Amino acid sequence: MGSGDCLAVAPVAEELKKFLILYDCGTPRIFEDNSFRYVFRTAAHATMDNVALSRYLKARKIPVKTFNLINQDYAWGQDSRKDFVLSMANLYPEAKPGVDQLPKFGAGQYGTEISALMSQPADLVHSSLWGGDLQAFILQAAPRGLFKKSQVVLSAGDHVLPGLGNKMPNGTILGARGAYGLMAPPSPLNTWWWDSYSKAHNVYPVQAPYRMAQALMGLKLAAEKAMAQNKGKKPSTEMLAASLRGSEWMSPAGKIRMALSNGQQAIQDTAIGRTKWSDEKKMVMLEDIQRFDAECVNPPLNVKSEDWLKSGFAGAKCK
Amino acid sequence: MQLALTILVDGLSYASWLFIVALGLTLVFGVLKILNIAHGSFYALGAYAAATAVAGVTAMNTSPYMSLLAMLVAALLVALLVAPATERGLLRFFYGQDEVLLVLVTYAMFLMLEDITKLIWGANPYYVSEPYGLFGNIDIGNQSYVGYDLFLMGLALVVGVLVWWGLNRTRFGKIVTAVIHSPEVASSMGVKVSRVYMAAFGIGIFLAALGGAFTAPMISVQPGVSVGVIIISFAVVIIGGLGSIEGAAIGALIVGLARAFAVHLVPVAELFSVYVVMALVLMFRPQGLFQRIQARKI
Repeated sequence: MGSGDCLAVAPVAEELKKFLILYDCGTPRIFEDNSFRYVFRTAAHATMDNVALSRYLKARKIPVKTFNLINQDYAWGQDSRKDFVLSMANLYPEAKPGVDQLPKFGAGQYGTEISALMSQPADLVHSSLWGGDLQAFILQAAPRGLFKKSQVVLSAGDHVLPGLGNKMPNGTILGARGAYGLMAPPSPLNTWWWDSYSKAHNVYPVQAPYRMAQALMGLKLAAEKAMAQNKGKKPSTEMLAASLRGSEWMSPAGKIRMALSNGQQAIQDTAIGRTKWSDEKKMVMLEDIQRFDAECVNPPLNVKSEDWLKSGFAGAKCK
Repeated sequence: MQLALTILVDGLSYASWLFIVALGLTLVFGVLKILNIAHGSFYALGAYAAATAVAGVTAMNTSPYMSLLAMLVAALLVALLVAPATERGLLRFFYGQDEVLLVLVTYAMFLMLEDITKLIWGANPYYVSEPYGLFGNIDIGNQSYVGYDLFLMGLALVVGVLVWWGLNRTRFGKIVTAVIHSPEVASSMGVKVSRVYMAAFGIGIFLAALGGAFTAPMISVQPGVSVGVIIISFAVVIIGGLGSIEGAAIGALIVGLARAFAVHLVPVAELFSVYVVMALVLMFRPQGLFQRIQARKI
């Protein structure tokens, strides 16, 4: 589930030759620092989120001369921070990183970090905080004016919108780590998924359920293909892995392609938007949504994320 | 100068929160000689109970200040319901046993309470941020602080003074002190030691729940809130000296200021700063800053 867990569990699964799908974790290092045959990730990694954020800022001509950072002190936070800094170096070469906070995972209390961010205010504050940490940060930072003083950008912020409601500051730029939830492309599949989930859980689906659904859809297709090749019998682990490797399928968030790391790592389109509370709908909506093709925000085959970012996004295909 | 002021206010704010929680932990150890790993779970129970209570009060459209009373009552209810059940129903059977065994028992309690909390409130987060805006914002130097954070400093001060006064200036406090010194002698003098244990444990649980209750408006109340607080609280009471109220206060101040100093000046050393201070204290005062060296009973 989490980046730290995935880094630890994946090599063990590989050693035991156990089929493993990582559906949620984001650190790019899982497949870039290892070569797996039994381990798959059916969603894009964190590099996409941060490249898309910086491309969004550039496309919207948002002026950035300085930016502060606050990310959790573990694999996800540190890798997200690095990817955003390297992306900004390409698109905003004049912009300088300032305050760089790395609170521990689950800190809960962010008063001191908020003071530090506001002591040296920057044009932009970047964060990959998620879950309870992100919610606590927003609840504590918004009343102190951080969101008014700086443009806050959240690489994985969509999932807190239903819970926070009108506590979520307007104008916050955020991603969902894919074209998920309010930013999902319209399609019959997405409508079915959105309605089914909303009816079952009384809340609309955000990024994690989308990623879980796309993992299950990929697994189902791979299992069906492997069974067909095995004359209807239960496939072996090797057959299942061979079917999923390099495959493609449609998900509620668009096409998923197992295109990187010898077909073990997915890429997908993504989107970034800006929050706005709707009095009419009594919920936070996203406006100014911009979509990015998978090849525009993900590294090409056989290129490590860090090298790709340092190369100035060499080989990126953007419309 | 401005930076020093900001570090001071941030450090005091963090220390206040820590002190309320750590005070209960050190009190329970002082009286019952239990290193209560489950203390964080009582903090979480307080947060959940407060979330429920504040939601109820808000739905009744009463004065917004009633939510403060609701949080206090929620913490009290947690102590009244949970403390007798855990102390009388479980812990008393292990009194006199090895302290390590009691640590394991409270660790088991921590695991059980984590799941019990999920069974009662589920895994979804609760938000009760209404009280957080009750006191507006206050500018100190070039920083704008939420008034509620400063209110928590006042609350910590009141709680600390009340507990100190209760232990040092009341008859009950003298009885507790006698039990701390020697349960056997206190018992021979007619003190019902088991009642003192239950009362002290109840006050300790109340302080943990109070910390959780008054933190609830600042956070998303969800599974996992109990873990972080217990680790940092142990650092506080180890620095101050297990069982010492003054120690908990000074320990919380040291941790709060060290952390604030690190976050502002060396952010990468935020966590390290707390534990390096703890290590330094233990090097020169292994018993903590405020715990007196005690003669071993034979």
